[in-house]
Amino acid sequence: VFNPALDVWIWITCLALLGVLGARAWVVETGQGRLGRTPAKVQVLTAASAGVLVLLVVLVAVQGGALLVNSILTGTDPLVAGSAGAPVDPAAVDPAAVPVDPNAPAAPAGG
Amino acid sequence: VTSTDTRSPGDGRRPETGVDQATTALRAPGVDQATTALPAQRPRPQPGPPPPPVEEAPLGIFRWLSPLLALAAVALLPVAAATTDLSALDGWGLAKVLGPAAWAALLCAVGACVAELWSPRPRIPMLATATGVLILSSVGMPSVVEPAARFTTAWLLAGFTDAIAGDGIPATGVDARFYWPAFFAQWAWFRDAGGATQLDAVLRWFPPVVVAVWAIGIYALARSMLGGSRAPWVAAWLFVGLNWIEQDYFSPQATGIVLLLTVLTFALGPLATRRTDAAGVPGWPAPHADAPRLPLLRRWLVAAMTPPNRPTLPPRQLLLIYFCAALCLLAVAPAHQLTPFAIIGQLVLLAVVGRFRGRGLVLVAGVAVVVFFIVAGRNFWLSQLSLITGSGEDKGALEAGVGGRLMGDTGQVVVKYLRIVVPGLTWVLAIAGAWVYWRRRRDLVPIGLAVVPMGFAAVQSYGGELFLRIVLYGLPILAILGADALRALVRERRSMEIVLAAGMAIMFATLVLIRGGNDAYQIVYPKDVALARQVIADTPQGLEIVPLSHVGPYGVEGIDTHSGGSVIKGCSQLANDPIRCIDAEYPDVIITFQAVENEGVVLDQKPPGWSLELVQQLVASGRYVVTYQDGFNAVLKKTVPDPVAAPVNPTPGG
Repeated sequence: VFNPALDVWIWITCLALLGVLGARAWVVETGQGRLGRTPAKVQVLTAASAGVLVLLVVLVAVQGGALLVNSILTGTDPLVAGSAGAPVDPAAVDPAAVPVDPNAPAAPAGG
Repeated sequence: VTSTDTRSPGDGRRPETGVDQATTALRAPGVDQATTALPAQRPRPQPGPPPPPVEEAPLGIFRWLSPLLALAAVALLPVAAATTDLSALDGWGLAKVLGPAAWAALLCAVGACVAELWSPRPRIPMLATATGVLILSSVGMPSVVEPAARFTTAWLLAGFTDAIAGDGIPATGVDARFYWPAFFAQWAWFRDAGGATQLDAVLRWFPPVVVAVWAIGIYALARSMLGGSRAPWVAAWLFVGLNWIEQDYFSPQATGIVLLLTVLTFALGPLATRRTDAAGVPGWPAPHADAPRLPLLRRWLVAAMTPPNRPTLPPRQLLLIYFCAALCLLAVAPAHQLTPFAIIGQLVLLAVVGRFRGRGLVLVAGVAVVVFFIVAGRNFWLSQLSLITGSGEDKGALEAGVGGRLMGDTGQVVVKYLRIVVPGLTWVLAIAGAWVYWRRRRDLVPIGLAVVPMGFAAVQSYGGELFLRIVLYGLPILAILGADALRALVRERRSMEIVLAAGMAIMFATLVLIRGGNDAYQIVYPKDVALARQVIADTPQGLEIVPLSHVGPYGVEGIDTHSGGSVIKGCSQLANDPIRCIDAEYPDVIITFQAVENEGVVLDQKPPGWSLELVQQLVASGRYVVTYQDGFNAVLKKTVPDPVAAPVNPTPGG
């Protein structure tokens, strides 16, 4: 089950990841690095980046990523796969959201 | 354990070790003998007085030739617009109806570029101006001679923008493109902020403007990759001249390519670096034929463990570039379906071979795409996953996208074959350029960057447009490699300059022919737009307004208020099999334009007047009435009640 109300945490985690990556870039580029040695600040920020990234992956997986990957790997309809295993929250799917044109991404010929 | 510490304890004694005693021999004070530890330095000759400044060769005729030709081109454009007979458009498209003034303008624009390139000292502002005039006279020719933006999809996307402008919420259940709404939201915001109610003028001039922006990106990329003062301009002209793909209309991919080129320019420009081994271990492939080859595992290990060199930029400039590049990557994720994958693929390739600093950008791009798709595009993949993974019906999409379009009258078929030939020649030229680049720099990465978009073939379900996108995303690098090949050719044989100048004129004339090949049915007149808007305004919300064929500005408004029809097998548009499809769909309103008539004649080879004949049939059936007609523009409204569907008298009380 994924709950769209929890999506906000994914966006917050994304912002946190961008912030940590930005801080790491700042420290790396402005620091006077010495060959063969990674400064402690960089090591801490690298670990923090990895931690936030893992958290983000887990959140995305819970909020639909696992279902999507499973559907792609098994070639099943996500709605069916979701209802067979962990049922999809009906509120998560907008019934009017089905594109009417299955070839919609294919815009008319570009000339 | 052997100590290698040879530092002095500070009391004048040396460490008591048996190895590597540091020298204690000091030079006697006052004796100024030259050291013999190094090879003797030959005394250099003292620099004499600076040579007198060399008189620069006068520009002569080149001072005025390029500006005059550029001015002539611009001056001829209004004449071209006045002398072009758009009513004579047929399967050959725009090229056939353009007057001599239009071709003369194009020739002058090419001449302006070539003249400045031949100048002893090419002036960057003049080259930029000449390039702008060239774009206006070639890519922008339809914008100049046609009264409104052509191309149905541009009007449809303007309709998407209109739909999002009202409440800022993308319509659901309308079109898959709405799941990547950034471009529409951006223009809706511009529109509202500017107090405008429509974007007709933007649509008309969007292609030449966005191609000019692309050309700037190509120039910047080529300056990094090729160097020199002339070759980058040739690369930009090649890109413009070979880009018949026509994805420069008002569309998300047009903006996406701007963002893609920005990131690529950063990666191959200020962030460019090389992974070199301090120990002098050669990488792969071996830089020279006589270089010793090390074991593969060793080479991989060295490559993986060796950090790329640091670009020679101040840290704050590097950080600013990271920020801008990250911003572009974040912006492109919600704007277009394919463009993020093109730039991610190219960045991954550059990161693997250690060619740019800031590999975290790949992570930023990947996270942006994945998170946006899984979270914001959830309704899309829950209902339309087959669009990504493909289905049995999609297997032949690429073949259908190419082979299925080789139809129409002679002009149409010739133009479409040219559309296949031009990318083929582009690739041949680029492979020659890759060979030249390899010989000069021992580098295969550029051709790899052009190959990366071919990975899109994995998503065949995208449809026939995929082939166009593969060519388009590879074209920047292909054009740059092509310019390298041409430069090598000219350096080999100077006489080829004249041939190449003539070739440039032919290339741009061919571009006008190819790009305008569909104009018989892609042309849009202001009266068509006014008609579509009027019909949408007069039709109650919720009713179906269906175009007879998917050409013309039928979708300029009402995307989220009126249905555009349903999916009926074999009836992707009513004109496929008009009577059957109209019976099956039975729309409330049918709208048709001059473009629909032209499409049937030049593409489907229907007899002239077929659309009016169909209108008469529908009226004769009693199911529709004509509410508007002007030439081939017509609007039919369903009669109520339907005389065919409801022939039985209603039961009283039922």
